[in-house]
Amino acid sequence: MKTALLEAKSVSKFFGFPALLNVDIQVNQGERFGLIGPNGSGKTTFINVITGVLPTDGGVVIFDGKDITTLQCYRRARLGIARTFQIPKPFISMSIMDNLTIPLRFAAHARDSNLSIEDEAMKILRLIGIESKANAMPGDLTQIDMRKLELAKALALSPKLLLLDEVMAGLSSGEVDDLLIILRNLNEQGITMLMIEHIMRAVMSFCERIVVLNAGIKIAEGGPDEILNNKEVEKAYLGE
Amino acid sequence: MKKSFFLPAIAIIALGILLPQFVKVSYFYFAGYIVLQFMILATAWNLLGGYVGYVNFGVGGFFVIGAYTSAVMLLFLKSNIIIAMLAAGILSGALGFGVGYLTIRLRGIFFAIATLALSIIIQMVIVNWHWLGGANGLYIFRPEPFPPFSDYLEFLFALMLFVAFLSVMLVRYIEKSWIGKCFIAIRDTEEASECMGVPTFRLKLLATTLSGFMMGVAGAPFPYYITYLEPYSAMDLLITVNSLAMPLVGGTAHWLGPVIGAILLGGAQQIVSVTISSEWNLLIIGIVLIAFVILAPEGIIGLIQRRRS
Amino acid sequence: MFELVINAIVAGILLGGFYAAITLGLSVSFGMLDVVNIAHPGFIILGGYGVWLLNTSLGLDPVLAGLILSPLFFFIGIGVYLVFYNSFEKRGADSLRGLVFFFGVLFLIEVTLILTFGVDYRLVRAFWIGKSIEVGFVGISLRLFIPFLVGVILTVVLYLFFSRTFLGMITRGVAQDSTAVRLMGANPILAKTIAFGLSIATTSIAGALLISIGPVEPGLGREFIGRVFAVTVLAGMGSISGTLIAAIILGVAESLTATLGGPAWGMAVSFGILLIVLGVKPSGLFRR
Repeated sequence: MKTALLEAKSVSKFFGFPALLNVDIQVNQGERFGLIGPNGSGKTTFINVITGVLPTDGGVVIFDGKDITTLQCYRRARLGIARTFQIPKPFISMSIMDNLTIPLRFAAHARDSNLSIEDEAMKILRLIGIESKANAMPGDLTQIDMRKLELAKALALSPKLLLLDEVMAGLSSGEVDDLLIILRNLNEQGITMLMIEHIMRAVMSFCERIVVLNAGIKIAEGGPDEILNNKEVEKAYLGE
Repeated sequence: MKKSFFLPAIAIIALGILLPQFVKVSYFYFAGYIVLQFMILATAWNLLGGYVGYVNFGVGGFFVIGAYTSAVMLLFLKSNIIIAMLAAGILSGALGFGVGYLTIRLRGIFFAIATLALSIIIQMVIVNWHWLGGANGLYIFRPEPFPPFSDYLEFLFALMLFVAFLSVMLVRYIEKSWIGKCFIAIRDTEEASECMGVPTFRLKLLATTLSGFMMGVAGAPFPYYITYLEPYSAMDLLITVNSLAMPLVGGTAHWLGPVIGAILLGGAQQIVSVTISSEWNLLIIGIVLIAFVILAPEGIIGLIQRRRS
Repeated sequence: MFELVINAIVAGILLGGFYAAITLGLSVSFGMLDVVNIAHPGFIILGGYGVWLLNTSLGLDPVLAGLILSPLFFFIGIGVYLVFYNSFEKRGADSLRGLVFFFGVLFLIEVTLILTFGVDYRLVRAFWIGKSIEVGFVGISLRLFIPFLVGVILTVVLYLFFSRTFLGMITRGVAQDSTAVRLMGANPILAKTIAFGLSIATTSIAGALLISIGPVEPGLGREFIGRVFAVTVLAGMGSISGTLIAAIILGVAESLTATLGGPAWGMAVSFGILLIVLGVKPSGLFRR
C-alpha cells in the first residue's frame, strides 16, 4: 500500500511569468522519483518551493501528512526534507567534517546518543567515500568530492526525503555509476528520493516513476518506458 | 566553562582594585578607560560583522544612545551606575533588534545603510531635544570615590575592565558554541544554512540585538568619564571607524582579534593624540583600515596563523 | 495655501533633477555593476570642493568646472575600481570586505577634506545663482533650475550611452551574464572598469550642482547616502530612466514634507521611502 510522503497539490509560482502552474506531484514513501524537463521548465523552482526557500503563489504542500505550505525553510529541514544544490554551497570557512556538524545538530531523527557528533560525521563521510578529506577545506576539493560533500551534508540531516538537484552534472560515466550505487543503498535503507537530472541513463535506470515538466506545467507522468515513448516529452526536449 | 570563568573573573576584579594602589599616574586610567571602551565596542562589532557578516556603520549611534540613556538615569532618576548600564544596554539592544528586524530579509548592504541612517537620525534627535540638553549638552558630576579607590576615575577604569572581560568572555563562549558555528555558516552561505536547519532569521536577530546591547553598555559609564556630554563629544565617526578598524587589524575570525586591535590601535591613538591633532589621528586610522582590509584582511591573528602553517 | 503647495511641488521637481544627477553614478556602480560603493556621496563632496577651488581661484562657472574635472574623476574611478576588483571581487571575498573598503574610502575623503579645507562651509558664485524666474505665482529659482537641467541632460546622455553604444550595451550585458559577454569577444572586466570610471566621472558634475544649490562641508556626504540609495532602489536597480523618475518622486515628497512639516522631516523622507520600498519590492534586493 503506497503512502504519500510528499504531496504538492496545484502548486504555482510566478516570477512575472509562470515558473510553475498548478503542478500536482506526489512522491510515495520509499520511492525513487524522477523530475525531468528541458532547461527552465521549473524543476529547481519546484525544489525551492518544497524546501521553503521560495513561498508558493498558490497550492498546498503536504509532507508526511502535515501541511507545510507556510512553514519556514529551516523547520522543513528539521522535519526531514534535505536537498543538494545544483551549484554546491559548502560552508567554505569550515573543514569538511565541520560542514557536517551543522546539519547533524538539526537532524530530523534523534542521533545515536552513543556517538559524538564528530563520530557521526565520520560515519557519513565514510559512507560517501570522502573520509580521507575530513580535515580538508571545501576550497581544496575536486568537483566530484564537492558533489559528495553536498550529499553528505544532506544525509547528515537524517532525512526522510532527499531532493537531489542535478547532483551528477559534469561527472564522468564511472563517477555517475559510483554515485548511483551509493544512492541505491541509501534508498534501500528507507530514504525516499526525488532526483532532478539531465543524464537520462541515470534517471531511467534509477527512477521508478518520473514526472516531466515543461514551461512550468506537468506534461507527463509514468514509468521510465512510458516516458521514453511519450511523444509530448520528445517534443518538449527536441522542439516542434 | 565554570572554572575557566570564575578564576579569571576574580583575577580581573582583583586587578582593578589593586592597580590603583601601585599605579598612581592618573593618565593611565584616563587612557586605559578609552582602550577598554573600544575593546568592548570592537568585540561587539565583530560579533555581528566578523562572525555573521553584517556590517554596522552606525556604532557611534548605539554608543550615544547608551551614553544618553545612562546620563538620564544618573542625572534625573538618580540611579546607580549598574542600573544605568543595564538600561543603556537594553535600549541599545532594542535598537539593534529593530534595525535587524527591518532589514533581515535584505542583503547586508541595506543593514549597513540602515545603521548609518540610524546614527544620523539619533544625532539629529539629540541635538534638537532640549530636555536632553540639545546642543548645549549635559553636565554630569562624578560621585565621591569610595574605598579602595581614591579617585572615581580609578573605579571607572576597574568597572570597564570587568565589563570588557565579561564581553570578551561572552563572545568567546559564543564563538566556540554551536551558535558561533551557525553564525559562520550564515556568513558563508545563508541559503544553504537555512536548508540545513539553521534558524537564520532568529540567529541574525540575536546577533544584532546582542551587539547593540554591548555597544550601549560600553557607552553607559561615559557620562561620568567625560563629565560634559554633548552630541558631538561622543565623536560618532571616530567611534565607528575605530570599531571597524580594531577587529580588522586584530583579526575578525577570532575573539582575540578585537582585543589585540583595541590594545594596539587604541594604545597607539592615545600616544599619538598627545602629539598630533585628532584629525591626523582620524586620517591614520582610515589609512590603517584600508591597508588592512586590502592587504591583510585576516588581521594580525590571520598573519600569525599563516606563519605557523 | 494652494500656491504654497504648487511652489513646493515645482521646487520638488527641480530638486528631483538634482537628485537624479547625484544618483545616476550609483545606478551604474551599484545598480548595474553590483559594486557596493557607499563612498559615492563622498566623491560628490570631493567634486564639490574641486569645483569650489576652480570657482574661487579661476572664476569658472561651477557647471563648467564640474565638466572640466570629470576626466580626472573618471581616472580616479578607474583606479578605485581596479583596487576593488583585484583585492576583493577577483578573489571572491565576501561583500563585507568590499563594503568596509568603500566605507574606508568615504571616511578618508571626509578626513582629507577636513584637513585640507577645515570644517567651514564653502560656497560658489555664478551668474545664475541668486536669480529666479516668475511664472505666474510660481517662483523658479535658477539655483535649482540649472541643476535640474543638468540632471536631465546627464540622464539622457547616460541613457543613450547604455542603450546605443557598443560599450554601453556590453556593460548592460555584463551586469546580467558575463560569460555571454566573453563569448562575444568583449572583455567584461574592461567594460566594468570603464563603467565604474564613468560613475565617478558623474560625481564631479554632481558635486558642482551640490555646491551651487547650497553650502558644502566635509561631513555632508553621509547625509546624502540615504537619498542616493533610496532613489537607486526606488528606480529599480540599474535603470537610468527610472533614476530620473524616482529622483523626482523623492524630490517632490521631500519638498512637500519640508514645506508642510518642517525641514528636519525632509531628510527623514528619503529613509522612509527606502524602508517602504525595501519592505515591498523584492527584486534585486534580496540576499543572493
